[in-house]
Amino acid sequence: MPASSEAVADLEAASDAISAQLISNPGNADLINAQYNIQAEIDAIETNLLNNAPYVPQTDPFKAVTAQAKGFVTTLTNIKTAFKAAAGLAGLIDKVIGYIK
Amino acid sequence: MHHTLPAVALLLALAGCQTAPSAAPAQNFVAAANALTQAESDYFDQIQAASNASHLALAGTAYVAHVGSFDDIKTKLAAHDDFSHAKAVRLAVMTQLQNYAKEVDAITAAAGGSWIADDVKSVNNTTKNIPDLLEKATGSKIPVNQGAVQTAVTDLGNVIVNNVTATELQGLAKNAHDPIAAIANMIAQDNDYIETQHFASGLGKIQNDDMMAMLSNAYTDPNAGPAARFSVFMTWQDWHPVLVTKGKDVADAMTALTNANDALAAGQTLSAADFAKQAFESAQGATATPTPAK
Repeated sequence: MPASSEAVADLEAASDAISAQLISNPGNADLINAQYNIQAEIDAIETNLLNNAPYVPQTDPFKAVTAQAKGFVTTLTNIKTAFKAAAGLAGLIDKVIGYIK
Repeated sequence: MHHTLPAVALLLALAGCQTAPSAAPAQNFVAAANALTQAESDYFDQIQAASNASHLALAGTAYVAHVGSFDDIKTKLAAHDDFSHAKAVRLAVMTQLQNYAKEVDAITAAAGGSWIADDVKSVNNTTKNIPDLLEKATGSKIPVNQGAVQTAVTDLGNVIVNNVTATELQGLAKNAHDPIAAIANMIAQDNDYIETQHFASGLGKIQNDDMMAMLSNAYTDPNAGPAARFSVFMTWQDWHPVLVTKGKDVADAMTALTNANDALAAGQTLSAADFAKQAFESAQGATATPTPAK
């Protein structure tokens, strides 16, 4: 467990304890301020963790595979062009066959 | 002249072997990528909203208890944590995932449908002057329907497109494994911080705890009569904490994305040996069928 996790767990335990005391001692300024400060610390740690998360990929992990996929779309277009020409020739052959018949 | 040309029979036989790759795995992948992006966006919106609500609950407790100066209360009321950067960096990764998914979608769109047949029709239209010329030269009507050779070429085109597409999608899925694993790791780490360490549930708990503290304060206030307490009670009845609930949606969408990519990687393609064998068997059948003209 990272040090930050242990710190958050300890702070949350303290916050829970104060919350319980606040129910029976409503309006206690010390308890209210202590809870506010503890919660501010928890929020600061969590916000920092999520904003600076080093495990979020910093560069595009899909860059290479996206380029590969784009290249294949071009390949498909080339195949289409080739078969358009071949189909034209085949159509002429069919017409000649029809003429011979 | 009714006998079938051997080359035409072979082409028809090859066409008979064609197996169109199912578009479902690719469509599932694109859908999962979109769902994951939406869930991730919603997740961080919920975290921001719940964090804002927890700050207000804390400030409200101090306000109701009349603790500190009003300037201090004003500062507490305005306090909030900003998760916009956290959301932005994750959505940047989601955009990169979607860029890849769009290309997968483009491949399935280009490979599917009837594009070769459409092109053949187009060629027929542009070459219809040929039978016209033959008709004028011979004085007899020449049929302009698509013939056996053109059908074979069209089908052969589909065979080739289907097989190269299936093979390419498999290769892409294998190459996308590591980038997807990087996203899975990001989501697992987030899940640890946000869910396992109770950050998300803590945001809801602090709202509930502070609401109870405010209710307790109002209940024990010697200056609050039944009418004031009734007003507080009715307000509490309509109140609900702002919770973070989208963690499961993110996890489910990540699982769906991984499964969709695995399905693409495991897609069926015809081996060259099987393809040749089926073509040979089909060609034998095709050449045996026609009845010679007398």
